[in-house]
Amino acid sequence: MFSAVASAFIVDVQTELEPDYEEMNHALLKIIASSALGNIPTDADAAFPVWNGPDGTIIHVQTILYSSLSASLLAALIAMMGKQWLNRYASVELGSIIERGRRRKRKMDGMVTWKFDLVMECLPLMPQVALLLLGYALSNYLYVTNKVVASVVIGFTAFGLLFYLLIVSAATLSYNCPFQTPLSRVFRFLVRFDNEHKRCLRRFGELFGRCLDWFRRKFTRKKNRPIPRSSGTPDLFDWNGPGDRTESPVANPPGQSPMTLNWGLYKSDSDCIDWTLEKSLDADVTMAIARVIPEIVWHPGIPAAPLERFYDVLLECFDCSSRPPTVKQDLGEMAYLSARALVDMVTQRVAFVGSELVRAALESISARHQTMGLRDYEGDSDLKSTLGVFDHILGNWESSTSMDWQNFSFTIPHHSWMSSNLFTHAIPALQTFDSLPSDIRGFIIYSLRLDPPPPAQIVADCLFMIGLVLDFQPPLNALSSPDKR
Amino acid sequence: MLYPPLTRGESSPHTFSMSKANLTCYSRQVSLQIDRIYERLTRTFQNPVSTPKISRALAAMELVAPLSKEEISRNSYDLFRVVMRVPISPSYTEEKKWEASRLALQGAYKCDKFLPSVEDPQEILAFLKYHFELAGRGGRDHNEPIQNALRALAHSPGPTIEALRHFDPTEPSFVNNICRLFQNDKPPQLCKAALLFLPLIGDRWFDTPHPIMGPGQMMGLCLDLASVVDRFEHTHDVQKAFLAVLLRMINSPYWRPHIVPENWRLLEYFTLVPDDDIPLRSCIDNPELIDAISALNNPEVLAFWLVVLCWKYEELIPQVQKRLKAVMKEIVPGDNRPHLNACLSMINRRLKAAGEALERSTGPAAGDLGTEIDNLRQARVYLVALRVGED
Repeated sequence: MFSAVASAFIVDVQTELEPDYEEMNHALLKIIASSALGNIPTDADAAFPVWNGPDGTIIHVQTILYSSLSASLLAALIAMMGKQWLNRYASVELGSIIERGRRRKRKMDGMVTWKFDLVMECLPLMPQVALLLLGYALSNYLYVTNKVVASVVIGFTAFGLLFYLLIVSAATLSYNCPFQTPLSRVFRFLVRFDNEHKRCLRRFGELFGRCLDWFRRKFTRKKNRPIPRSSGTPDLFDWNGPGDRTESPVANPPGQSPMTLNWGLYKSDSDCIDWTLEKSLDADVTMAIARVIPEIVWHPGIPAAPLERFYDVLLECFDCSSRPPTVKQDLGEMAYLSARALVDMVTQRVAFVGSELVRAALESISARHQTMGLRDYEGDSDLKSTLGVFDHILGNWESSTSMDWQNFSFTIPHHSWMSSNLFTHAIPALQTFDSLPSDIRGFIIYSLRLDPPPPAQIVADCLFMIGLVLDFQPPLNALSSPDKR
Repeated sequence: MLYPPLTRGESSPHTFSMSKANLTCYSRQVSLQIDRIYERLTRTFQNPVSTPKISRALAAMELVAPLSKEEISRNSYDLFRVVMRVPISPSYTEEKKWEASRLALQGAYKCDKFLPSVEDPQEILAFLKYHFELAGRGGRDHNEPIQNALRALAHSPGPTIEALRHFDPTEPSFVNNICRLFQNDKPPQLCKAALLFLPLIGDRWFDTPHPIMGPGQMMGLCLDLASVVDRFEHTHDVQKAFLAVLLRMINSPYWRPHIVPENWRLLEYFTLVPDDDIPLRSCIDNPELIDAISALNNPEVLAFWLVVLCWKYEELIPQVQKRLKAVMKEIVPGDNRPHLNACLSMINRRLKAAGEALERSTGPAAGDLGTEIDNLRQARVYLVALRVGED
């Protein structure tokens, strides 16, 4: 399209690069006619028309237009080649899965090594340059021809250029800015801000933010309300929303301890989970998500947790026609993972956000729930204890049948997760009952009585729970450490 | 408890492939939290004005007590002392005091691995007496606090013996309570704790001009002691305790007739007794004893006792030396040979076990084993001589 537009202008301007014989004929005829009528032209009117080559401005304009056309055509060529390259990458080759996987991996490695993504991302730069050149040439040409008409074109071109520069600047300064362009990526790579520059930018940002706030106050009637927190829930997290991480999208910023919480990451993890659950019905994907869920801190900045979705997954693993329900064949692992994910999310949401916000979901689940933690599940203590805890959460910790911790035989990861989960649960439970529920007490005594003692993090969780009994503030890092089990 | 093989959680990089740094971090957190908890508990009991705070402290003590860690044991004993010293008040009732002391002592002496030294045994004796009283009244099970108190006392013999001077262990109710601990229905660990404590009051129970209990009760205790022999592992301290009690009983004319064969068998541990051991010294200096043992008509016991006397021959008083020679001459070597062979094989077996243990151990334990091996070798020499009828 760019090529066509540029070509049209080139054709139009091309005529001005050659002598205008019509005009010359017109001048000669005018001299002849005047002479025939007896009015001998004098001075300039008597001079025969002579062509002295095209105007300098026209040459300049035409050069720019040809550049624009060349850039467009080159972009088209590279785009076609890119299509070929991608076709080669996507082509299915014969062979075993392993061989195909290996070939695919070799191709992928080649793409990474030869910076294929950078080349493909830079491709749109050429049409952008072509458009810029076209705008410039057109403005220049029309300025000579007619200033009024030119002002329209110059205005739009200048606006487009300014918009583009702002976009690039914003994308360079902020990684989270959605208007990323290859140019901003290159700028970010080239420009390494030192501390002084960063301070200046921060000051500028603050000033800009204040202006923005002023405008918002002035023109916005309704302010976004933060997520309400139940009055009884301790303010465990000083939640300020995910920060803008200009330097890196994944790793903690330099100098930040790995134990420091990265709220934004947990938020994006939860978003990923929502998106994946929405898009995929694959059981393996669901299991993978269930494995990841306990590693997320479901802090107040996350609007919702997929509780009901995981309860559906849990129910799918059970044959609910028998009382109590039994696990379907080969679905034990899925049942365990989904139950663990569910318990983890409910516990964290109640502790960190408040029970009011999850009440609706829990009531809906309670209405469908049958007690599941009473069966032996072929000696799978991990599953039985998780379901038992879930039964208790839906009922009442004190009134349900107590957990028989002494008869459980946990795997270490499950034991560790259970200690972490019960610690999180102990915080709101202590506020409700003024003492630790008997099941949590039982778990602590069971864990601390083991000989040899359990791993240090389980002991630490138990001691933190004991600390809660003595009115210690819950340690934030222990609640949400990156190695949450 | 052993964990089953890891089947879950391997997919997560954070699950249990914990880095050393993380483990160290958690261990540090554990130590810090223990210190904080005990600091708070100590403060609560030093100034026990708030009833809810005391209730919470008791709840926390109940939860933290089962953890087997050196810091827990040490801090728990310090807390026990605080609890016992603080005067009773309306908010800190006697019931709460004893409950707190029970939990603190449980934290301190629940396992053999970490036993803090007792600084003031009087407090523990008072605690023991109180729980004996409660046990006498029935109701709640008091085995655990009694076991912890006895374990604490036995672990620090020096201060305990000193404290027992101001305590009457022959008081009938105390005697009855101690005797009851050896009954079959008691847990083995409680019996063991009582056995380790018994040598500390041995002189007040057995070396008395008049018996402190009736023949029936003496017989009962001997039978109970015989029944507990196989209920727990015979570690060095258990062997020493058994032997110390046995030697005291042997030396007492009132107790000796009640000793049952299973108790006599414990003489096999004679090489563990240190040279300056008072019960052994009293036994080998007792000229009547050799005849009394001969009169038992138990050749194996007599053989053991002759080995003991031969082993300590140089230290015997002339009267006993003379009597020993006489008895040796009376013995027809052929008649006693099977018993002497049995003694010899037992000594060889113990020599082998001690040699193997010596290879594995270092430090003071190795020194003890070395002494034991020397004693056993010396005893074997005497036994071989006795078997061939040498003088």
